[in-house]
Amino acid sequence: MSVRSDYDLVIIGAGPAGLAAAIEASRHDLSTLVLDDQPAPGGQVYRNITRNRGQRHASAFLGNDYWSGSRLVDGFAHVSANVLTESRVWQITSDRQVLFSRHGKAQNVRAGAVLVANGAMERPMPIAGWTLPGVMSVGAAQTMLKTSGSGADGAVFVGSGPLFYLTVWQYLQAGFGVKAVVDTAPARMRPEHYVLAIPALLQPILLLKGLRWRAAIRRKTDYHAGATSVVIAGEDSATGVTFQDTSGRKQNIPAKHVFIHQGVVPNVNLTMATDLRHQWHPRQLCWIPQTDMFGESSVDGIFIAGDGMGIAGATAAALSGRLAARRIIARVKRRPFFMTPFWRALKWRQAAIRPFLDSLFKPPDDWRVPKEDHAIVCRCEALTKADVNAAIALGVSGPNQLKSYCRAGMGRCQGRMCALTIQKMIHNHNGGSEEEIGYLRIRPPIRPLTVGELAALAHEDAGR
Amino acid sequence: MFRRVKPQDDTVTIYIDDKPFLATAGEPVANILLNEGFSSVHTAPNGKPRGPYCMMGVCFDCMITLQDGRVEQACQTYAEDGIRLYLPLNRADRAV
Amino acid sequence: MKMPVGKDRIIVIGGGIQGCATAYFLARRGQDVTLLEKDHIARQASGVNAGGVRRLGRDPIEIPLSLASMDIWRSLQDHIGDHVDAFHPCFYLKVALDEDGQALGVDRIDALRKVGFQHEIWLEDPEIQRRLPHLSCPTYGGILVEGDGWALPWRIVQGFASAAVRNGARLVEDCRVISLERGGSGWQVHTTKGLFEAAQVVNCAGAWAAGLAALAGEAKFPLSPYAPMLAVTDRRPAILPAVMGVLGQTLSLKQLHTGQFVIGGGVRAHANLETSRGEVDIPALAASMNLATTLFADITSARIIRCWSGIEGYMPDDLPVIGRGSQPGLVHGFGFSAHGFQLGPAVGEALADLVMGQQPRISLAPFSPNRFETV
Repeated sequence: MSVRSDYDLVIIGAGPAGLAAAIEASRHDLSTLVLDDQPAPGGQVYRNITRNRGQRHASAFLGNDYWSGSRLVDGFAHVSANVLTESRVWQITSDRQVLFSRHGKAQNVRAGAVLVANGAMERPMPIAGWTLPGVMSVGAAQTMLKTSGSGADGAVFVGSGPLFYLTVWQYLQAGFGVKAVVDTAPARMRPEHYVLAIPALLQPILLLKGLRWRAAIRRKTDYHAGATSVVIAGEDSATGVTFQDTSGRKQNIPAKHVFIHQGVVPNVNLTMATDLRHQWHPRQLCWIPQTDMFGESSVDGIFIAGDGMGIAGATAAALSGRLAARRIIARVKRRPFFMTPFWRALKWRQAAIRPFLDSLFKPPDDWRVPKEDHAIVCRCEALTKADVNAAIALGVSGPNQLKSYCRAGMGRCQGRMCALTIQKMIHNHNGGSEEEIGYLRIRPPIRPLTVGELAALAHEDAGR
Repeated sequence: MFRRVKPQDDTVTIYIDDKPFLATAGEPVANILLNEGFSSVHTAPNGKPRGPYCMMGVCFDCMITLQDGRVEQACQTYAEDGIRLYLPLNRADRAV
Repeated sequence: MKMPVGKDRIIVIGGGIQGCATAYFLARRGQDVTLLEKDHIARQASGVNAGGVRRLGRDPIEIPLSLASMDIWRSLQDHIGDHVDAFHPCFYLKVALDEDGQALGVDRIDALRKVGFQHEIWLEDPEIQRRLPHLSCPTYGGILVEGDGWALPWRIVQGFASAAVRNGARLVEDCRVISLERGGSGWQVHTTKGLFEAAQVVNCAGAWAAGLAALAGEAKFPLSPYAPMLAVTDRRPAILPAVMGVLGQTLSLKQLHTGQFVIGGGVRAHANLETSRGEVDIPALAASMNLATTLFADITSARIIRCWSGIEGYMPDDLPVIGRGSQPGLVHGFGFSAHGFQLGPAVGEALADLVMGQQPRISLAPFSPNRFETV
């Protein structure tokens, strides 16, 4: 497949949003390129779906929601959009050049429009012991199921949320022995949860599914509801989990594998590095890019779709991908495109369950900022809560000033695992609003590229 | 330990610290690390061991060294026949 | 208009190295000084530069100032205490990779000797290879300066700011100057945090200094904002004990105590004074990256984890503006054209001298603000 130097539409991410957008754009003859960092389309939610189809029976434990992704992936395979797999986008410029690395070579394409559909990541969870080998996010455990069909027996799952329950359920379906499930969501729903559950009834199937998973988990595992004060023990690797149960008793569960989860947040490093405006989402406790109703950002021609614009799940992601594509198509063809009542209703219905989920599964405060002074806050630089607080005490206006005092956010992950935490820590100290404190300044390349790769661009220029 | 419940199709041989292991072609090498019990792969600046955490390329704690000297994320490196990876944990030049 | 927040005798505007060093020297001499900074200190050029602490490669006109500054760097602990841990002395080496570079270097050493400067020494290739065992290529010789070094720039600036405050200076951040007016026997400085009054104002506002000078009623200074770019890599085994450049080419290369390489291309990306942001043109760093890998093959596989740029003010002759303004009670110290960091301590001392009516140690005539007056 020969790659052009420019496209009407460059889509970053081949998850549900990106795939849906690519299908829509191709149908209307837009030259479209999809860039994705994995070996095959599917994003995180439908990861490895094409390979797993060859052994569908063996991977039945992944569940129907996963397999429903086949439609999108198949649909994509049949359109004319180009896809470059194993491509890591590291910068989008203001004039819509997309720079990426593929198989050790830095490249760029120009785009009439860019659609960022790079999805979400799990919220950083700086509880004491989270950096110990043997501790992984629940999403990581699920990824192992999808990409290898493998899992760990005897693991303890700690946390809450839709992805949490789904993965435990998948583990049980696959036949792994789950040591315990430590649920940090409130053991009893509160009045505000019941109120928010009313609009959630617009998506009864989702609600029922959640209830079904939770019921199965209660029945089939050593299940603890309403857990607080969670700490992971171990010196050089995880040895167990301690927590306080609803009767105030301290419990200890030995385990070598601990999977943790407190929800997902948009993966904003790319949109932040592109200098798009963002706003704080007070209910989801994360930053989202500012977009209009079609997903266009504060920069003309750069759109966002999917969980990267706000957490709403796979179905909503596909819808937003289609919507953004329609808008881009209309622009290219110089036709008007209005948000019809149909679209509005669809979007509204998708969003209706979110306040309930966000509220019920809100991360506990001590998962946003740890209670323990020795807990690691910045993983890359191995900075503890005490280290970061000492720097905050010197007086900082925000994470960027803090960075120069203690290196928090300067490591390889460039804030992905710590920026939300240090923002909250500064807020706890300074007061004001979290939005005012702001996020770490993210700069390209948002994925590393080697010095050699960049140097090679000089040879190319010389050759011209 | 992680164990597979799905048979491997299309296997290739990869080398971890010069020892051969069977992998499925194209699977992230981080998976083989976990399947084979390597839960620690490098050390953090405080000297403590670290290993795969997020399996999706955002935590940068699954660092391995490749033959050409690159330090890469194991979860973003896909198994090809003959690929050699080295665990920084076991090397003298620990800086990663 | 807000109520006056205090009657300050000296106001320094700009919290970079020039402003913070000036505030420190003034405070240490018992002066009543307030530093105003529109963001937080070291936010701009002083926080994002390559951190080179060098006498090597200076315009001969600047060398006396640079040598005087190096004296202060050597006793930096006496001034800024613990923050001195951010300064790493090491030798500076600018190598020639071709005959043109060699000629440039040899001619320069000759020229410097003729005017009495001995700090730059010519080395032949065998000595260079001995000093840099991991060097991957032959050289045509190079210029050496022993006892230069590098620093983490923001921490040095923070050191001066803290030292200034310890000596009684006031530091006001998030404070942007809106207007400057002569009033009574001094200046009225209107800011986003209220009115400050002072007998004297020191303009250390970096890339914004020409705008500030204009607010004070000075003639327009030909200061242009550009944004040099830098890149930092992941941690690598230690192979580079010096800061390096290449004669006739654009490169600044160093390896931090963390093992990370900091690579500068001196390339100027477009700078926006309004937003204080400069978009990074990463492919424009390719030539410098190429040079770096030529020097050290080991760097080829190092991974760049971040690029950045900061806004710096450049003068047409690449020399700073240091001296009294045409208005009474106004002193300028700006326009360092991307090489002001090492000069900062001496500039701070000199600006303090000017403010206090004392003769600076080094003649500031070549840096006169008047040199741009048009007929």
